Amino acid sequence: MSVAVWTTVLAESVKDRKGAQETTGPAEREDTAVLAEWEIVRRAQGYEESALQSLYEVYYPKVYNYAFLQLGDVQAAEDLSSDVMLKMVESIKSYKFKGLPFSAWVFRIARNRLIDLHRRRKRRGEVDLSESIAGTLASPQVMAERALERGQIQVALKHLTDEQRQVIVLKFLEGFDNRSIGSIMGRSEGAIKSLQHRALGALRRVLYEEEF
Amino acid sequence: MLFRSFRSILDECLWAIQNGETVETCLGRHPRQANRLLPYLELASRVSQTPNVDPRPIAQATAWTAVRERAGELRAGKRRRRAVRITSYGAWMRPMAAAAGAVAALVAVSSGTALAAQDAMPDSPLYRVKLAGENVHLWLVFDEEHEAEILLDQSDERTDEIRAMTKDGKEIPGIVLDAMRDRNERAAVIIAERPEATQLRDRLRGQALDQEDLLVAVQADVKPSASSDYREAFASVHNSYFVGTGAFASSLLSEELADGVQTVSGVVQRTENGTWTVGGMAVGVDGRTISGQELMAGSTAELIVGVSSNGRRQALSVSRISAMPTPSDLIVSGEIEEVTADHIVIGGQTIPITDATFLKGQPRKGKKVSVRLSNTEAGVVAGTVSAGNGSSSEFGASSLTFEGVMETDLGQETEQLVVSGQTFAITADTSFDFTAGDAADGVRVQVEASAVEDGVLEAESLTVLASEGDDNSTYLVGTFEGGRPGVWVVSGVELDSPQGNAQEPDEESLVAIDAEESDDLLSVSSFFVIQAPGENLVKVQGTATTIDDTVWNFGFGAVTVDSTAEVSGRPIAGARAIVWGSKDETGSIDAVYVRVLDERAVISPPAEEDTDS
Repeated sequence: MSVAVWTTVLAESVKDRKGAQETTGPAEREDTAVLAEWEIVRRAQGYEESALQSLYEVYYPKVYNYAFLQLGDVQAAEDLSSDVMLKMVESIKSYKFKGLPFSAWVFRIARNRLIDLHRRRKRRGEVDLSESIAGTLASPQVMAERALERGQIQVALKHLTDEQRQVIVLKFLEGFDNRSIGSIMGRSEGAIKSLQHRALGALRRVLYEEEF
Repeated sequence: MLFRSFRSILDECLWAIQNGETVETCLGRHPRQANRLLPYLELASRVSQTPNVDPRPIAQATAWTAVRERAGELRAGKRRRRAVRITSYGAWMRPMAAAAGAVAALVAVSSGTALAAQDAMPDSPLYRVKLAGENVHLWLVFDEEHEAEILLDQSDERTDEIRAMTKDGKEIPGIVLDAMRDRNERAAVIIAERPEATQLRDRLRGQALDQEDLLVAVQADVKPSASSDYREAFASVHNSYFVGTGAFASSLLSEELADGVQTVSGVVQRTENGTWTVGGMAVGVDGRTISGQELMAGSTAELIVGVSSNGRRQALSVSRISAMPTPSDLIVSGEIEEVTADHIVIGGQTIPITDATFLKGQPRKGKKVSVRLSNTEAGVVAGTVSAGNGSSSEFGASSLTFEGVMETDLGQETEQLVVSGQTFAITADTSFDFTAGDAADGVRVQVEASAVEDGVLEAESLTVLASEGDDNSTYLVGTFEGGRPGVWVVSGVELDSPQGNAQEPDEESLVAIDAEESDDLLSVSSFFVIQAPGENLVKVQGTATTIDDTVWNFGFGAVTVDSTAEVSGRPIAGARAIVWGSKDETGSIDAVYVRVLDERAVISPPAEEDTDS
């Protein structure tokens, strides 16, 4: 055992951890992407068509995916996505860059629209929206369009609460960080941590029960 | 010990995996939680790989046409026509409308406050609003299992809050401890009624273990006014572990922790009447003791015990158990040379800090710090980092290391410890190490203490030494605080000054003193100045597992003890030692002064390696 062993062992341990947490690259890339998008948003705030089209092409599919996983209904998801895009254009002048990505702002609109839709349907005595996912999946035509894996996840999502479903979709399918999800859902980052823990637990229970 | 909430570890892993890390790497960083983490991470990974649902191109194109037209209108300055619905209220409805407006305004104001309170810490005036908001959230939850899950989340958030306050060097107020107790108890009641909710029960039990570790670690940081809340929270967390088992009925009472929670280690024995002793100290062990394996007479164990007001000790958990004595924890103390988010440098030694490192106070360059090392699967890391506040015996002018003969029977109810005529107060934080033998009257012991107000010396730890020694001889290390004719004062202890013309040390020097006890007085026989005022030596405490010429190996690393070092005691592999030294040109530690505590090995030296095989 040489005298230098201690320093070497500890230094290597630090090095290993650094290697494991190599995060500077992705974080920087993410910052660059946010700033590039901010440039497009500024042009869109002047209603420049090419800029609006760029945002539309990025966000329509994302919002549609989010809406479909929440509603489980193609028509309702299309209506909601179209509504969110219109609202995005009408309100884009009021958007101010405060460090959060533009996408968080768009999804906040989507979530508010979704809540409005829930309320309207409830007032009209319509079926709970989360129930309709199962109904849609029961259709062979729709089932045929989807991969088995996606179908399983969608069925499982139906059994989650609205908040749990939101956090799963926003975090794992849309790739938002906790801060952005907190901003979209109007909750603290601590609450999002708890929610994702609970949501994964619930999803696991549902999938486990269904698969085994 | 390493502490961190599971929720927080899971979040860190999810974030890391989102940024390209593998599941295995993350599990490697958290071996203790690996089994619990794995299913969550696998599921998150599976969900992330789920293909998106693509919209129908025709629908997307149609919607674009509408968006494009609307953008054109906006460019032209046209405002959107809004549908206006005019509702005619009857006169009788107006008061209701006004009341509804007032309620709406109140809700709006309250919501704003609630939003601001979301991230409030326990020392914030808004913290009560945060807790109230959590309760309101639960009113809307009608599924009881879901409610239990939320309560566990809320209890887990208390863990993070306590950790954050400790890191900031703040005292823990009662409100957060009370909230932790409340959430745990409410969750436990729901789970206890549902034997089929095994996952919830497992989560509750796992969380209870983490929280108990945390509460042991922060005991000294709890506000004096919150001691009752601390005991209640501790008992509640402890009892949560037994939910769903028979032991839940005979739960731990907070009164059994009235005098605090202590760490006791040593050889366990069973007496004739069936009770247990640890190092000769009677400890109650029953169905309420958390233990991974059964206690065996003759084994060496470390226990967390609760002390009641009548001095009775009840084993709460067995944190370590082995057939043979193990090396004591390695502690490195000194001034911080460099500190980053992932490592700290003391005396040229780079020690990794992980997210699981328990931080007491903010470590900053130039600050005194004490680091207890932990050997994890990820390598050697800082388990606990205590940034100096002048009160710990690891540093600070008032700290004292004292060796002498035990004159107290710990089997009796006592709040005092007398060693070679010197009195020390036993506190809730005093830890006991009886690995080398029982704490009997007349054995040689070492006490680490700090001087508090009114000249009282508070014992931080008591260690039984593997040493026969001379009944009259004592040894101490402390700060020379000056003196008067014929008297020296060292860290609050008065001694007769040495005979002859010995030059008095400079004030604020760190001195080691051999003293003789006669007629209740301590007289300096000889002394050595370890550290002059202004010098910054590194202190290393641990078990010297092997000694190879000038290289003393302390398990995780080694120090050089060459002929220039002053060695007090006989070098023995397997004995415990304290080394004061400084960084040499190679970055290693060169000893200036060494004190060997034991006269015989406490642990068995490692077997010789067979070099032929």
